[in-house]
Amino acid sequence: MEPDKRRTKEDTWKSDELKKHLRVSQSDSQSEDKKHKEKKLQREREIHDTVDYKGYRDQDKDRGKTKERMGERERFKSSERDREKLRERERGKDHHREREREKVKDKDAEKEKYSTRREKEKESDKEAQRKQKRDHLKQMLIQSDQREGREKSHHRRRGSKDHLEENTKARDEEKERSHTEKKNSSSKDALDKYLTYRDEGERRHMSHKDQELNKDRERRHREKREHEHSNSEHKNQGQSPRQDIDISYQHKRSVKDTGKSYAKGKKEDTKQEIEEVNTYNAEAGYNYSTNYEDDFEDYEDDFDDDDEDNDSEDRDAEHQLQAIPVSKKLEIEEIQRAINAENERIGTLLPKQILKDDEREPVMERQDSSARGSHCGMFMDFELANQRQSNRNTASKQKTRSSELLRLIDLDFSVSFSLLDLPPMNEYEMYIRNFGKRNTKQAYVQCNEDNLERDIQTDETETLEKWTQHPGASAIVSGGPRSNSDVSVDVGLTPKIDSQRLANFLRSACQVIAVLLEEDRIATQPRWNLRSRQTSLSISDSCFQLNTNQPFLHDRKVSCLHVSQVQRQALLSVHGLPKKPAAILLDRKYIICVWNVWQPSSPQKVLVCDSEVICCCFSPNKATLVFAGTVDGSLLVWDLREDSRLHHCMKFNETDWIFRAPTFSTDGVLTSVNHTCSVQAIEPVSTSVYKEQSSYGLSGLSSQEEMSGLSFQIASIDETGILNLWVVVELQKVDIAGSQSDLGLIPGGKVKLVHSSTVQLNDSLFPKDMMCLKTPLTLNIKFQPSNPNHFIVGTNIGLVSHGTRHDLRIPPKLFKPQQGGPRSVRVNAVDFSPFGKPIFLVGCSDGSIRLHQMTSEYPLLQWNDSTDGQPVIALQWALTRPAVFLVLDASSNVYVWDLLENDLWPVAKQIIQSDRVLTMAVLGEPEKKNGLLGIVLAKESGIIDIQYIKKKWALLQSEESEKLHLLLQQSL
Amino acid sequence: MDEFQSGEETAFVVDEVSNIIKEAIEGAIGGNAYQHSKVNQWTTSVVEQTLSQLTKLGKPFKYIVTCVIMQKNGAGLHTASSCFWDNSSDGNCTVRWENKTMYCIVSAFGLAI
Amino acid sequence: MGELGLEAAAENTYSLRPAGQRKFRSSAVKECIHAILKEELANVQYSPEETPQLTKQLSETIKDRLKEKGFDRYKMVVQVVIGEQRGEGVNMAARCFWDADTDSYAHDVFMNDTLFCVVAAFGCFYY
Repeated sequence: MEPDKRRTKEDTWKSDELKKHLRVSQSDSQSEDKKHKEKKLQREREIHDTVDYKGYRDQDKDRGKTKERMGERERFKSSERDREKLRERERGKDHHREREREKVKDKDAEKEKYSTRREKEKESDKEAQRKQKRDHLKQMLIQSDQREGREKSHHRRRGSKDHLEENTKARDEEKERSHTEKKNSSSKDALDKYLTYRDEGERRHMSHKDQELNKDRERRHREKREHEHSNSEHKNQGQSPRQDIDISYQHKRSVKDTGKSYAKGKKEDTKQEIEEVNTYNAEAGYNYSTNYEDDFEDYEDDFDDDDEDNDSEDRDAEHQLQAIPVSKKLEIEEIQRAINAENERIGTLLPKQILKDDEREPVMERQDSSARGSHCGMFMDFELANQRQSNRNTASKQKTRSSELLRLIDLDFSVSFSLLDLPPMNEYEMYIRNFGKRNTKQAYVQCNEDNLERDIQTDETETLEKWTQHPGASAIVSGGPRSNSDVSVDVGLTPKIDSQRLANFLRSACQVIAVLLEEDRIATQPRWNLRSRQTSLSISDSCFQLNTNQPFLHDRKVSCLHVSQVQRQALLSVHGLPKKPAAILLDRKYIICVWNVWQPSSPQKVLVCDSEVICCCFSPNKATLVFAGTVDGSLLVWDLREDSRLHHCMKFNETDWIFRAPTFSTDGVLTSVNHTCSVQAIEPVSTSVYKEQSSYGLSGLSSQEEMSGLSFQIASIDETGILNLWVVVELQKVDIAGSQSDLGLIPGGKVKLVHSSTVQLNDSLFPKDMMCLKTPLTLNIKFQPSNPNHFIVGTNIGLVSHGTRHDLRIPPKLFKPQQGGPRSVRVNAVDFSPFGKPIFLVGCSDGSIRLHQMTSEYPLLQWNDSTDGQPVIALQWALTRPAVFLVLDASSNVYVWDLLENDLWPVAKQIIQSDRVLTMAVLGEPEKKNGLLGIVLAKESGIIDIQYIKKKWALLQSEESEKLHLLLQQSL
Repeated sequence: MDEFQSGEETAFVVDEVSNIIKEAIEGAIGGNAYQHSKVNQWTTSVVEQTLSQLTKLGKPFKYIVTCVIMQKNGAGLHTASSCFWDNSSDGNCTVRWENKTMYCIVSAFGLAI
Repeated sequence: MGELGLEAAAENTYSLRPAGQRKFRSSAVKECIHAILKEELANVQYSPEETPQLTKQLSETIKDRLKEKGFDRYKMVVQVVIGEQRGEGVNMAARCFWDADTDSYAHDVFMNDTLFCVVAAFGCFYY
């Protein structure tokens, strides 16, 4: 029956079988009406298709369902998995599958019944076939595994293994179903495809007769497939959730690949199978023609094209393959295998759906298989496909373009450009850069930086301030506190002294004190009561001596005396060299002593000079300067105000004596103007009008004169008639170092002489006739006190010439003696009357005394014999009485003349024999009315005696001057 | 699969370029701290290394590679690029890299021939 | 200009040199960039909120300006880097692989108290 059936399979689908098929299908379908409602239309087609195959299927079933189914299931699974392109499914195929399953289910029981003989017969064959097919499938699976990937292979292998291991058909069935359900259409498609393949293959294996039928069927199938494909596609699109699409895509891909391979392989397999089938069929009694190979189209090109093409062509291939008639068994086996494989895959991938859609899916599947047929089971994503295609196009274009261009152009590396190189800046530089530019404000915080502590490690040194000064401004020349505690004591505390005033005061005060002390001493020492000493002289009331008993005045003769006209008590005494000079230097010097007659104990000042002093005088205003003319022709000036420290100090008998050197000396300095021979006389010439009895008390004025400048000149005359007038200059500033210009000035000296003028007296004073004889010597000079412009010069020819300093010569030029004419008589002394009258006395060396009047040539009075021919040494008016004058002759006689009393002879004559008087000077104080008139007698022994003339001659008589005047008038 | 293979030969693959750049950076300044004396050398070396590796890919592109190395100082840095090209064929890739002392930003632009 | 024909039906023409067309001259581009930078960044202070936007906008502006300049057949890339000046050290370098006859670049740096800005513009000829 079976072989018959088989044979007749190709003939097929006779009504009986068709009906059976239909019945079965209907029964199958009825059970799942619900699920199939959707696919009624399709079902019809499927039915139509299945009609074609039903009998075929039934036949298969009739032959040996279980095993065949098993085998088919396996095949089915594997094919589904493998072939993604197998979308198009004949409804019949799906249906057939479903039906088979159902049949398997339903007729499990029947299998046993059915499979008594047939099974027995065919089991072995089927098994063999199954095995073969399994092996094929396995091979295919393996091939697909290699292509697809691990998972699926694993699944498949598992599946296959499982399925190989499993024997329970129900399980397999269920699994298959579940798998297929899960797998939706793709698997079904695959299976369907496979089935179609198988069918076609089987069909092809059928007799030639059926070829046409088959071809028709194929056409139909194709059409249906296409339709179903489109439907399935729609369905897919409609149904497909993304997951499904993806999965389907994957599956498609894999299936496609596998499908391709499988298709290819399938061809071989189918060929093999065909062969097998052929053999089997041969066994079974089928005649398979190899001509059906021609029906195989060349799908390889199509496989390179789009999926659709592939799919469609695969489908076509499958169709054609399936046209080959294959025994139902084989088909079933393959299907089963495919189902198993697919289920495996589905099972692993979507475990959940298995559980859920257990019942549904098989129905769905069946429905799908029946309704959609071949196109269920694979997603076709056309978008991505388009994209891929476009990418490929662009890529290819790009490739061609690039290859062309690279030939033409030359691409090369450029130079490395450095676009920016900013060196890092430290914070300070950044700060400075932004300083003042942004909204920044400088804030500072004082951190108690002024709270400093400083410590010194060095020990504190003890200091003591001391000061010293040289030359000392005052007595104190050094000082400073004795100890640190006396720091307060400083120079400031010493009273600020006007040292100048102090010095002056001290000088005067000292003198006063000294006088007082002297008096006191005298009082205490009656031996030295010189004043009250009774004079032995008849002309004097009392006398005293200047104490010339000084160690340095020993053995010195007094050569000259001078009393100051201003300071009535100042007395100069010139001491010559000692006869026996001692070794001391002092003995080679001439000494001038300045005495204060009120202090006769010792000279006030001791002046020394080297050369012999001929004449000396005080300064006219104040006895502060001593002038002296030396035998050398030099003038010497002593400044008595000088500090004693400037001069040599010697100690005599425990007493310090200051020996003053001249402040100024013209010696060798002013040689052009200096006297070339000894200075005969030196006289101060006061430049101001003589003030009668100029007060001594005008100290202020005089001091001023002293300070600011001196108002007198010094006149010096020497033997040759040269009269030099010297200006006494007081320097403001004392140069202790000495002057570089004034070489005659002692270092520290203040006073110097400046030559004023020189008068040649010889030419001017004497007429030529006298000159022819011999040049007269000028011996002394006196200036008229009232008019210091006039002066008289005593000559050695007995004449006194009259000269003027500035004015024109006024006659008389000469004052001749009464005898007239020049006489070889030296004029030893001339003296103006101190009371202002223009009369003067002349004492000559022949003893004649003349009283001249300035206005007449001849004397008013002349006394020739008063001295008994002894030369007159000294002649001087009395200071207190205008009519009295005193005369000293060479024989040491002192004559007192009082013209009012006796105008012919001296009223008194004192002979001093014991100690010859060398020179005499008159002193007195006309200012005072005490009538003290004294004469200073320098004795040969060196004693200086001061005799007070008796009052009767000393006291000023009333109207004495008028009387004298009358007298003189009478004498004219 | 053929399409993708052909595409890769003429397409600017960002990942690939990014890897190249990262390797170049690591190679040049991998474990170093910022030193002004050497930074010039580093930028040049990064750029050159990147560029040479890019050209070795053998793709038909012109390349532009820029590299900025900045010392970490708390200061901010911003980069932007604006390109006028064919979007389908050209592309760029920027890699930001940093370590404790400096930032390094490398941009690679590929323009199809 | 070389004309090559592919085997396909359409012939591809490649212009290998921008002769006649405006060449991407570095000096002109640099002037353009400089002007833009001066104009845009004159009084700008660095601010972390605004500067990112500014950077992007600047790159766009410069690119648009360059487009207006009329460099035909040139693909242009403009990169703008703006950073805050805080005394940090910065170094920027670039290198290109191109056809030196046709392609060029220009760059300019702008600095003020708070920020520095580097602009690099690259032009590649499309044959």
